[in-house]
Amino acid sequence: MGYRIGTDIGGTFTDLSISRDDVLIGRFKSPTTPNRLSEGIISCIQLAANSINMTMENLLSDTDVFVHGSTVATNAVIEGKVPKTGLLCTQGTKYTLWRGEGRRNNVFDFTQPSREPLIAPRYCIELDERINADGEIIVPLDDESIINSMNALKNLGCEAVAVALLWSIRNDTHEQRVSELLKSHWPEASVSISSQVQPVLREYTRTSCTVLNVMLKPVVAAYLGELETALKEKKLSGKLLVVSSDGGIQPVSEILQRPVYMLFSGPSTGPALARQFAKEEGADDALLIDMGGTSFDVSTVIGGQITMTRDGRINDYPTGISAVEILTMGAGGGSIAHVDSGGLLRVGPKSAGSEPGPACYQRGGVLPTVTDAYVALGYLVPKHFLGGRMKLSVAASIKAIMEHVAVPLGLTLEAAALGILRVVNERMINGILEMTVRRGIDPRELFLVTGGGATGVAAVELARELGVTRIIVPRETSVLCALGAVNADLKWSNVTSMSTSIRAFAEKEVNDALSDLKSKGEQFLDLLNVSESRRRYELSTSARYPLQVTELDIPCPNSSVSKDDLNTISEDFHTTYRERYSVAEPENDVELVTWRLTATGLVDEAKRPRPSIQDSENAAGKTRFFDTVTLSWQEAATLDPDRMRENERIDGPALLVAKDTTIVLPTDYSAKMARGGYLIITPND
Amino acid sequence: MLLPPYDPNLMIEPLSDQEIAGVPGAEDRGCKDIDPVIFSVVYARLEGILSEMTETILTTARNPILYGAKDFTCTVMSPRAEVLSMHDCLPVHVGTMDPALRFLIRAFGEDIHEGDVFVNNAPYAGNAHVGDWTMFAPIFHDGVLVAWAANKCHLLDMGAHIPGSTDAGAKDIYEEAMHFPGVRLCKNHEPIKDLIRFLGYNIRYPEHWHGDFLAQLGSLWTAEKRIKDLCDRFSVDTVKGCFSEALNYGERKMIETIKMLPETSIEVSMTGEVFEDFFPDGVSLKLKLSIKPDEGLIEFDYTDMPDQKEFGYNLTYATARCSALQGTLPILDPDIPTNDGALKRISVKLREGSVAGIPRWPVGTSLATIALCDEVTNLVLKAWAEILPEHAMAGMGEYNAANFVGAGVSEQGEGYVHAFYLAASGGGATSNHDGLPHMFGACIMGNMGYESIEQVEMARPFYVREVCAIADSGGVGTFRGAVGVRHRIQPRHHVLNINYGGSGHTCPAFGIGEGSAGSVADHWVEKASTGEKIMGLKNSGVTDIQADQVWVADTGGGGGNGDPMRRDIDAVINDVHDGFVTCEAAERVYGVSLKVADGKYLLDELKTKKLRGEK
Repeated sequence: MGYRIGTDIGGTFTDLSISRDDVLIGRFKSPTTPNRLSEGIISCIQLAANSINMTMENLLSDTDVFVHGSTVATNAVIEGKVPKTGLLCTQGTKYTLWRGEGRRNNVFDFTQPSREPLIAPRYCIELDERINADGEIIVPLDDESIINSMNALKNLGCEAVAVALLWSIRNDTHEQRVSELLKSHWPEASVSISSQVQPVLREYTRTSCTVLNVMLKPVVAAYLGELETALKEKKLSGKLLVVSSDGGIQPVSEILQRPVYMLFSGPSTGPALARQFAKEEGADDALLIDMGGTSFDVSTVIGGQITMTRDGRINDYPTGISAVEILTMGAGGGSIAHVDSGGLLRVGPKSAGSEPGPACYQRGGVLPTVTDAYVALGYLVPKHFLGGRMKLSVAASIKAIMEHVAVPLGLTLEAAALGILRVVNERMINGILEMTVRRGIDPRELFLVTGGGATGVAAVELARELGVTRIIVPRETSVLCALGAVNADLKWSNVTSMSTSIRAFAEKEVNDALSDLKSKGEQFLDLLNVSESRRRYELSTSARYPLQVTELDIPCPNSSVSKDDLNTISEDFHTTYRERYSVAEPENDVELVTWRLTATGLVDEAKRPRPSIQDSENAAGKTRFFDTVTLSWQEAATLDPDRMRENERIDGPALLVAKDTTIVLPTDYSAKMARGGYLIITPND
Repeated sequence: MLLPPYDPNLMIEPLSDQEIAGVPGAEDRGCKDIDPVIFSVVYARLEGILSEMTETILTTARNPILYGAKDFTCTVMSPRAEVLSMHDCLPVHVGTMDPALRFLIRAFGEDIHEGDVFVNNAPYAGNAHVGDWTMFAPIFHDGVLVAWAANKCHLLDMGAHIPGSTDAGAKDIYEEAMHFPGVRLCKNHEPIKDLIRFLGYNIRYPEHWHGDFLAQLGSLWTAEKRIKDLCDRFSVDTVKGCFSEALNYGERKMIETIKMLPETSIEVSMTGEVFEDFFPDGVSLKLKLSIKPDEGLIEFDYTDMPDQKEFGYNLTYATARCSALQGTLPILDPDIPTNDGALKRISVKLREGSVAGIPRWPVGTSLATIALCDEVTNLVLKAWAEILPEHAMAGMGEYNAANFVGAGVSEQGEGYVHAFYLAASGGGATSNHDGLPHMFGACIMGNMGYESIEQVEMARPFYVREVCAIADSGGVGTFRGAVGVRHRIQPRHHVLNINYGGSGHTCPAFGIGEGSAGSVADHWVEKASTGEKIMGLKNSGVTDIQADQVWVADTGGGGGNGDPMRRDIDAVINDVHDGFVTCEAAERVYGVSLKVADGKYLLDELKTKKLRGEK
């Protein structure tokens, strides 16, 4: 078996994990290169190749699978860096996106202006056509009106066109015709049609998802195209796969068709690992925090289940696609600190990113960032930072903090730097509370698991504020999502609508549709050379009582449905329904509306290396940092967690300095290396 | 025997310890010394439970008025019938839960047991209006009453002589359909079968209704399960203590807020809707608002409101009080929790026998939650606009015409009744930004779901021909009132019978300063083939829409705020592009002159400067 590589691009660093024969053999980090993201990935691969004394070409030509996660799609939508997009819709529906879905649940709050629609009504053009709920064409479409509307969108400067017509889920001929004409008359435009992207009832969600999809098409195609070319040039032999919103992975060809599935890619692989670490400690619940250079992500695992949403939303625009639920806020090592006109110290959400970067990077950044505060307080030691590969200037950090924070507020350097930390920590705590306390989950009952390179500095202070007493810091914390990408299963799923009911089951029609679906799933796994023993097919149906419009997902015993299976499905539905909603109608019929088949190619989790068996004494050193408990500079031991032995314990004040991350242990905390190769940090009694 | 007319105090007066002493544990307020973190967790869990209750109805109901429009509110209440939290509520359900539960507790005394479920839809027993089917379940833990779960769902039909539950012409309760002044529906967590049979017999489309009834039960029992779990985790004493603290916290926040307000007392008035047979010159609405910062009190006096009439527009006790609450909360700190701890600092003096007061038995109140209630709320907003101009919000457009009930029999022979929620009204501008669209009037303030066109067409035999913004319907101003929305509906091969009763057809949403009022609501019938208007419709009545006709309804726009000539020029240009303001009005009202080129509007700078009097 060849190598398996996982990469994850953050705003500041690009991370890489590599395994061979299901054993994790290395982790690497390199600055993100915003103008050509593939360059950062290539330099990361070079580091990996160097470490095993190979050329990059030799490594890549012996790589079976290259998995990539990236927030490029998410960021494009948030920053509005998407092409100008138009919508072609049915007569009488141009205000669909503006109307939205109602349901403003903070009823008495009138302090904020109204929300902007995904695209303004002026970019939504109506076509004179109509299909009814039975799929019958009642107003035929004429080509001329399509071409006129197309030209109108061209005049408005649109480069991408979404087509979302009423009832296209019943009859897609009009959408198909519009798509054909767009292709022939306006080949440069990106086009998506709703019946292909998101064939669900309710025009608002379907339209929103289609618009997001088409605006991401050029962005994602350019991005993955560049990456694929760069990797091919370096002789990648294996498949390039992309992390999707549900934490699974998909081939590039699928993602290019439905780039909306790349939203939330990147951090989506983290929670599965957090679950794994908590499980090794005998716990079912975990809170994962991931502080990178630009953003801070929070996700949870409750009762062994990763918190998911059935409708991943971005800026509250619905997609109707299933996604790992992650709260992201603009707070990270690169967050810039400034004093506002009222004398209030603010940190972020603006970030210095990797270019120009924090002042200490000396790449042109002169404004103080959270990283500069860490440097000024002695938490980041220049000679250790990224194994000494990246030069940090303490003087530059101090200058930036003094000039922009300490002097304007009349504070000492230490007080100013500490102020920056307290403000940014407070923002992160709010994010954590949003995912826990505000949902009635007591964070004190959870294992805090860290991901991200900068989290180790803040973790103990955040835990202290939250009252969390158990912290897990994996040695892979800095590249957690890249490791997640190495471990993620290959996943393909698709839905077919075939409405029937238990009492009038359309056995042949359903099973015909399912065998179609299964053969598509097989093709997916064939494409990725998954062996028979690693293939799994799971079928579920969405079921409801007559007259309802929302369904419950019920797993089916097999990937086709027999009469016997129906009894199981029906009983399962009544039971699940009663558990969920406290009532049930076992005497009623059950409608089965859609069928989802998931084809999975299982991936064995890469074994993480066990703790070192060598004596760590040699690695120990000394440093000084500003302690948050005694509010004074303290002598602190330094130790490399990668060289700590099983059960080895270290008491604060100490700095645990790995080649890619630093963990701050204040005077009242201690850390122990667990058998599984991760640190457990707890307060001293 | 409790026979009507009831003493209004049965729903109004707070419950004394003695009155609830018959139910074990009801008097106990729980632990006083509460850890602030545990309080935060329990309080948040409570909101989580409310969300789960809401979700249960949304996902399991059988009528679009619930699963689509979300015309319901869920809450958890104390043993003293105080609402603990009501986030994600409909404004017009605020202050309408507690009187209904107080009456019920007084009616049943000690005969309240675990597994009971009660209903109260009777306005003379504290409920909002007959259509708001409010169910209550006491929650016990180890035999001790911890709280009440409650949900109020607007049912599509209550078995009246015409379909729906909002008959504008119903002059008394006997014409409104069935009232249940606190009636037990379940014992030992089992529906009482003969009573359910009776309801199923009397309510139209019983299968739909029964599904909705189960959805409400599921919501209550989910809350029961969750609160019992909470008691297992933290102890009953702690949970009750946290619930009491939630009320204290609300009251503290409200007192703090009121302390910051000016001490004042003002009277405001306006001429409301014209009702030809009852108020031919429009209802003359009048109220007094006094603020007493030192006492932490806001007091309304409605005693000068006109006398009640024999129609369905009279407010009920619950909704008359609510109009003051829902008109005040948007002006105050949005962080104040919507609970009875906070709300008890706002009092409303009402007169018996008044159109906006305590109705005198057995006059009709079927429209008590909308229509005039919205207009009185606008008057409350107007009072606040005078007192706190910097927090002022202009009037909210009314949506009634587009909200009414239609019934018919499809060509396949299936009968249906439907309440429309496709088009919402516009909100009033504030002193900082344009009015918020999609409000559905003051009674909803945007917290209803828009129906999806496809969902409507799947559930009912209609074509929704259009749902669009109405140009120039928002009141003009430096900040513009939000535009209203229009729907155009054609019945599919059958006759659609609509019955409607609204207001806002003659009385628009007020503007502030040089800002103008929004447009009024209106509706009419068009010929489907030509779009020719063939019949105008009034604010109340019953009309058949034929298969070759289209029913068009416009909701009202919100009021504007400030001088329109000072509106940001780019904002005006964007409005024209998006169809919110016409090119003609941009020039005439806003002084922004535009030229059309290639489908785009370009600014005529010279003419604009001239129109705006700039050099």
